[in-house]
Amino acid sequence: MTTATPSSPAHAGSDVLAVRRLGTVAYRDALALQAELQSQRQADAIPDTLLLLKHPPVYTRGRRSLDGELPLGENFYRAQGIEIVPTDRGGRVTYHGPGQLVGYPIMRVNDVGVHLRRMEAAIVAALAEYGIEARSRCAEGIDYTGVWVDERKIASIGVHLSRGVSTHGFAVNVCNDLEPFSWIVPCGLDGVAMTSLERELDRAPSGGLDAFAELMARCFSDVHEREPVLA
Amino acid sequence: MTDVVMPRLSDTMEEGTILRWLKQDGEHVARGEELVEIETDKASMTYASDREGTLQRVAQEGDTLAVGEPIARIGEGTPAAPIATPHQTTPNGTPDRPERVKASPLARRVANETGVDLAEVTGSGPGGRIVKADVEAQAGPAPTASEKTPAEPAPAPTVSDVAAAKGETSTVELSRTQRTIARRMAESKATIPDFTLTADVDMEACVALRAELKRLSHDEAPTYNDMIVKACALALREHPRANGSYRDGRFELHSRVNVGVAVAVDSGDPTSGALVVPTVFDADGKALGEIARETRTLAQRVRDGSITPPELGGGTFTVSNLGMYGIRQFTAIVNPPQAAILAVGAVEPRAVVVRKKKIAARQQMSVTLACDHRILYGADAALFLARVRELLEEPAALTL
Repeated sequence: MTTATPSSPAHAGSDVLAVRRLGTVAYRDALALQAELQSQRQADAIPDTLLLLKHPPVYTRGRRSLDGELPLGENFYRAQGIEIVPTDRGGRVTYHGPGQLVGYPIMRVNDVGVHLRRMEAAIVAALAEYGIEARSRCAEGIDYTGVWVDERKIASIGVHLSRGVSTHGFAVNVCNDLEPFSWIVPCGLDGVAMTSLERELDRAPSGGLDAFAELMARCFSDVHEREPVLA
Repeated sequence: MTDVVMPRLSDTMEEGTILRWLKQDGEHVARGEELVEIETDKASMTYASDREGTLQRVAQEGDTLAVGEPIARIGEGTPAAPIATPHQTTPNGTPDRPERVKASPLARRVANETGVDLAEVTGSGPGGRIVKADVEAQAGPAPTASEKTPAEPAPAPTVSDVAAAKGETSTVELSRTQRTIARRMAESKATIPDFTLTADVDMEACVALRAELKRLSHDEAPTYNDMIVKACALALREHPRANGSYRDGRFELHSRVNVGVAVAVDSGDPTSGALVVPTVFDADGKALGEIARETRTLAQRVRDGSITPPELGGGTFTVSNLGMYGIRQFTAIVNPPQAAILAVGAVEPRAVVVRKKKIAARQQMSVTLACDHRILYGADAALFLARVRELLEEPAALTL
């Protein structure tokens, strides 16, 4: 329930979900954009918004990141053309790169657990359209947040909430190179095998990343029972 | 001074970690100002103050605390006294002790009052947890002792007769597990429309099977409980709603059958006992011997305190057995968000009517299924329980 505010702003409790497809965005630029949209959302100047984009290769460290999670030293990673950026999201270290779909919901969130579980549900639904049976493992502990195909991790999740509005979100491995994950300890889970839609299908997913992004927008809107509006 | 407690930021949140204080100790905070950054699950969030006053931090950065535990106090004006802050902050802003120290809430309070640094205390509790006595030992004799008059009169005159009738009452702080149990059980009873079904199972075949397995195996033979876990797992595979959860107006049906086995933890101290439910994952696909070995290992790990959270979560059904205490029949409380729990009584010879209306002594066991009626209805539950009984009465299928 949203509480009524005297000024009754335009987007206090919106039925729509604005979806913005941004293409490839540098991680730091995406951080700045999220901060801007977050304050606009806090002021109810914009509706709940889902950003869909790709990042150039980057390792991002969450608030619980430990030193040992980037074991090969910064120079090695930079030599591979991968940047390292600290962030304020929950969780530990992860990798983003071309071929991976990143989604940042800038939304009013009452219950952060529900928010995480809905992201998982949307990703599971999108993967099901390709015949991939994926699952949430939220019951197994906080380090298992994300989406899994058997014991293989296909999507990572981490969010930040400020004054009831979320930033950060999810990253689904669609057709990206998985090797950079092997150079780190993703999410602090040692020895976790990462996978991608392409690897699970054993072929390139039809329509590539764009088709998956469109599907993801629909599944995400569906779990929130919202109408997606392209913005 | 008002306590600021670890907020519940999600219905499913049980504890949170203090990532970063956004206000200094002793700093004045206004209502709505961001106070602290907290992490739970894979979410970090800033938490704003809902009142105005001077901040006095209780929890340190890196501490993980249960929902409802005090993390700070906010009072009017200046802090009552310069608090002996045991944890100095280094110039670059990082705390000197980022790891969490395991300590009971009472121990933390005493440490705070006496100025003892918990990092310097050796814990004598389970898993090195610091308890009140450890802090007191570190603090040395209480400074107030000398102020006390040598022959202080007993406080008896002020105690009413009614209160005295119970003798002396001591207050015990709950451990986090105990608090979780209290909350989840109350939540279960308050929110789940439950009903129970009882069935008597003829255990003659299981008794014979166990004797046979004992003869054959070098290891410890599977117990009746292991057989019940396996029978439940096989029946759950055939009855998905018994293996599901009712959540947010939906049925969640789980692809894996994970059976929790309730284990009583008796630490020898009557106040610190707990109930822990380790999980046998994919129990339907495991051999009986495998379930037996795993359950034994898990129970041992519960007792020595080395069990890890992933081994305690993920259950889709629970078996609770009090047969070893000679209990004939009881009702258990559904463990949310599971759909049902099976309460198992003792295997004992009873007089039963057998064929041709004759009475014979046979090994019998009563089991009681408590169900969440929002997902598991009477007839479904009856079919499920009948299947469990059938598997136990003809246990060959359990050994496959």
